[in-house]
Amino acid sequence: MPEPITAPAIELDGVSKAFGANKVLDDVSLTVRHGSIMVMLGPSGTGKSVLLRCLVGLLRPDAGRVLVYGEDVAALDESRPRDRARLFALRRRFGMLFQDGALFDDMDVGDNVAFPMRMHTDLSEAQIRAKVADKLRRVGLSGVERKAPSELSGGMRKRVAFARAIALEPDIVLCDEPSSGLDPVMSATLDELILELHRTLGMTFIVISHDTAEAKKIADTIGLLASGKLVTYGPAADVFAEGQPALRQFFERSTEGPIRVL
Amino acid sequence: MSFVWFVRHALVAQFSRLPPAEQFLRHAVDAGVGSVALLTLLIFFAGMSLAVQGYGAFVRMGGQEFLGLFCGIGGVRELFPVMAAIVCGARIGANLAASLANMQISEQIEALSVMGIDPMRYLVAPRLWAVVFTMPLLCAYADVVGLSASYFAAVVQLGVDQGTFSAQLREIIRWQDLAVGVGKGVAFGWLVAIIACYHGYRAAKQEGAAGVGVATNRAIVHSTVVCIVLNMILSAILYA
Amino acid sequence: MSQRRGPLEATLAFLDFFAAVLRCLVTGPHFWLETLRTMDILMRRCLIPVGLAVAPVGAVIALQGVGVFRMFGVEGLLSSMLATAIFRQYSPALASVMVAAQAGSSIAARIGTMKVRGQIDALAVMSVDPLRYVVVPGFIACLIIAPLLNVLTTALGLVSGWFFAVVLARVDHGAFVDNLYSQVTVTDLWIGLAKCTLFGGAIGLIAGFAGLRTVGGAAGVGRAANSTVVTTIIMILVIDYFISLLLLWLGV
Repeated sequence: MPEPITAPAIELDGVSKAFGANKVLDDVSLTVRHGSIMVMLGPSGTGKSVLLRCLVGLLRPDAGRVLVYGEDVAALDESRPRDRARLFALRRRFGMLFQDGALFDDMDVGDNVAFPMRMHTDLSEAQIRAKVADKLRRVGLSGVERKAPSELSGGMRKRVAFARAIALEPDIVLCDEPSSGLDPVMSATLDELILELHRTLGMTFIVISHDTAEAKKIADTIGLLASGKLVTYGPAADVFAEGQPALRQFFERSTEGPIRVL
Repeated sequence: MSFVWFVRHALVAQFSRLPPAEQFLRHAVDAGVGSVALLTLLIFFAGMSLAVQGYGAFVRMGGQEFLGLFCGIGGVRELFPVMAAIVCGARIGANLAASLANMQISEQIEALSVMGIDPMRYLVAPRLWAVVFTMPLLCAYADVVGLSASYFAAVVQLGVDQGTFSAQLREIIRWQDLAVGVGKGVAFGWLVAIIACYHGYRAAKQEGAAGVGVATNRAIVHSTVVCIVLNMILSAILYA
Repeated sequence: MSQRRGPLEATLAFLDFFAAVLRCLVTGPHFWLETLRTMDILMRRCLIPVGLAVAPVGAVIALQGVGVFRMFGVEGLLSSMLATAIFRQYSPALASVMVAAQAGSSIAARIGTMKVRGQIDALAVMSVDPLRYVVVPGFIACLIIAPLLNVLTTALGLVSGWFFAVVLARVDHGAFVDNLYSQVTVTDLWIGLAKCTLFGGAIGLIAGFAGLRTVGGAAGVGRAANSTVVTTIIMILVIDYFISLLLLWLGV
């Protein structure tokens, strides 16, 4: 089990973000404990992906602070050279699993997974190859190194992307809709994978999802984002016990409740 | 799907029935009106360049009074139609290829087929007609703009004698030359359109966004090269 | 990258972008291997189209020139006109236009694809600066291959002009060769190369800029490739005109 670390991995403090008149995040504050699995639920188009992108500085919030191990990402402006360097350094603590994998088309699977190691470490080619094989084994895809991303199925692509995200064994792994576009068995496999990696490598996971089964299975902290507001947030057991109406609506797949889409 | 197959089917679709008027009009306006500003800008500078560069070359040999001849022949017979073809290959061709490729990868073309609509007839034929009709007009327009620009550069900027320049233009440019320029426009237009539609149509669904990029790139490059080579062949046949 | 798209905003953003690329050029790290790879790819892609597009120009100049020069009984001078036109003007301008069409559009399409598929974000999250990893290599590659291709196309243009004039139009071979270099100097070659370097660099920059600003999925990729080619061709013709005017004025 991971040793107890008291400093939180992520702290959001009053984060807001709007695109034009559309408020995507509205005064969101939360804390993610180091070594936990946080699942953020919410209907599509409610700013979950925006939240994720704010964490790594791909987007800057209009207001509020985004602390990553105590450092404010929101204060860093990518267009200023010094901030840019700081931001890129900070991002090395993250691994990110993109929704469609975002594998590089012009590299084979092995090179995709090796890419972060080639960029950021001085490992020899043999060591890198061994690590790539290890990461691919962890996601259950041994021996696919020489395949092109386009030859893989959606589920395999995602798992390769997962291997790439954990290549440098980052502190925090961000997963953007890991189960979207996958069949239930493959989704369950990915969930198992997250749990397995969490247990063996002790990483912090932040998972964006609209899959309630996934949330139940892996989350130790759970949040619900609706219309840009953090409706509920807390330890999974408490949140489920509390029976918050929006959350209940989400779990019951009901059109009746506080969340309105039509 | 081979190019020959595609051309055969496109020709059948193009000539079996005329396209619906509003479809044709929409694409013709899109290709023609949409290109006018770009074409004007480019041909104007090309025409001025022709005069300035010709002047630079002739000054060395002491024959600057032949500038009118040079601009007339070089511009009307060759440069302006070819420039028009390159510009339209880059703009019209790229647009056609990108839009068809996008329809292909988002399964819209399959959807058409499933609905019993022949994409060749519905999508390709109106575009072919539209560009074939528009390009000669653009070429004629390019001749006018280009010659005015050469005249402007030669007479106003470089101080070549106005009477000599226009007399030479009148002497060297015959109606046949203008007709050849317009005729080249028809050929260029059809080629730009068929090449662009072919590459757009051929985009593979699995490639996604990359397929659109590849189709656009190929449409631009292939149509430019084909137009330049065809221009040489036509010139060799007509003027040699 | 900003979503607003006024011309003023685009110009300012481009200047910003230019400054950032320059900064990346001066400071490390550099991805030389990626630069070489990009150069290799672009060179392979450009060689045939650029050659095919520029070679006919020599023949066309010879073809139209023969008639006129014969009219005045100075067909021996044909080759000097041909050499001047090719060395200084047509080879650099057309080679650059073709590099814009081929290399520019493929760079913009590649970066645009990476952008809409989230690969640019993925690079950034992996702490690899996309500017350094994808934009700068394309910029350097264009900067280098454009003048290289110009050397090739200058030679091809002369050969095709010679072929038409001497082999087909029966201009005297001796006169052709004797007069070939009577009007051109090494300066003309340098001017051509300098123009190509300038245009090549601008193509790489504009392509990278358009690629990184791609929005709107697959259709956006097509737009990025298209706008790159259109913008660069305009730029090449306009700048080329002013350079010609300047050189004429300087008497070079």
